[in-house]
Amino acid sequence: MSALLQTMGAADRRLLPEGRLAGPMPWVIAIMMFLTVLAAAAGLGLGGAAASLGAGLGNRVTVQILEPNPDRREAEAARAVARLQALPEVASVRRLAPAEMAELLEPWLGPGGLEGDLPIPAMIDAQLIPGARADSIRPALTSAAPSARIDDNAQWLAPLGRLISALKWLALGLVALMIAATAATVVLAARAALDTHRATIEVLHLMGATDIQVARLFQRRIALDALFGGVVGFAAAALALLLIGRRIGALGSDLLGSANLPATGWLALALLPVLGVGLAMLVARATILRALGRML
Amino acid sequence: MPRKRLPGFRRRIGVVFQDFRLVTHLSAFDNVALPLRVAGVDEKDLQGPVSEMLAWVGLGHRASARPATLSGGEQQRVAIARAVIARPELLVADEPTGNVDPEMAKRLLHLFDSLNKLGTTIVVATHDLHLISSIGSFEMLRLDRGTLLDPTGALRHPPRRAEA
Repeated sequence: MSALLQTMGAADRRLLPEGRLAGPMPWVIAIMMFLTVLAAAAGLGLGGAAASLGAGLGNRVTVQILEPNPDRREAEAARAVARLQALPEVASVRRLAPAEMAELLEPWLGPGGLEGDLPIPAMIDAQLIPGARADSIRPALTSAAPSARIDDNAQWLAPLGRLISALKWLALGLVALMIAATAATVVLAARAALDTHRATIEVLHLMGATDIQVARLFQRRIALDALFGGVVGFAAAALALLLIGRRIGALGSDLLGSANLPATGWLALALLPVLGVGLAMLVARATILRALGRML
Repeated sequence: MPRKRLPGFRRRIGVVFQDFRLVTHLSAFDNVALPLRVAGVDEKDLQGPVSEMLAWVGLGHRASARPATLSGGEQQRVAIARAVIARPELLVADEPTGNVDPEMAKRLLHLFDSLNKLGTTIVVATHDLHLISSIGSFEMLRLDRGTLLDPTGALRHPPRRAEA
């Protein structure tokens, strides 16, 4: 890459006329970069959400003790907690306190809804070790608490996880398509630039210029155009992502919140314009050298 | 010849085109400096020779002028200066004196003569036989419809086919 970024003397740079090389190319690259950064951010965010879903919720079970008699329910709940804590498949166990239950049910029962004699099941939240399944703890649990019902979070989260995973791969596919479209844009721009400056190239060839020398002239100009387009596109996309992030934050959703980009995600996005410049230079170089090879 | 050897070969040849083929967006100085820059000569090393060459062809005061602002004769002199600046082993000139006044034409031919004495082979295509005859060391060959002929019966070094 350092060879490609080799600086040129001011006099060499003047061999091509000043100004933009291929008209709207920087703006086309800016639009491509804008869409690429958005798609990549979506892919990274969805990847984070999928990981968070799997690690935070997908490996948990919720145990309900459905015994209607309050005394027996308490006894079963205590036995269930003790049995779960003893199982090797269980990483942690937490029984929801009455205050938490009241808070969860408040939207349906209203304030003070649990103060009457309404039979509310005891709730136990258990975090399983990675790889453990809810079925493996079921026999031990039901022997300790016959009225226990186990809700496997992984079971109802699986379709959502698959959807998020499909969207993530779709986003990454879009990134690949954008990269291919950007490369095609550079090919067209390089060919147009060669046609525009054909007379100058012929003179340079007759003076004994090598194909590499000629290609370097175009390569540098296309890299500058790509850098301009990349920075503009990235800045616009970053602004859009920050605004979307604020909207997501205002929703207060844990799942959507987990789709927010971490610092490493932003770093990966910031590398996209740099990679775009490198890609533009390589594609331009290959296109120009191939076209020059057909000239005398 | 393999393509990769062409650049080195072309650097040994200077060409003066009838239509000049100057790079339109470059100044007269930059046009003349082009062969040296292509050959990788440092900027500090080419300033002197280029300025000197431009002065020699009478364009020292027009160094920063673009070709479009130069007359036909001035463009031709820039083209000649560009062709000879790198001291080529072979100089091919197509009607190099067609657009200059007789005095400048003689100066240019004397420049070619000097280059020839320094070892450069000069090939000049021209219709001005009178002018070319004034340079004693030139060998004249006449090309008629692609065939070399002797225009005066006094070819000093006729080609082998003509002898046969």
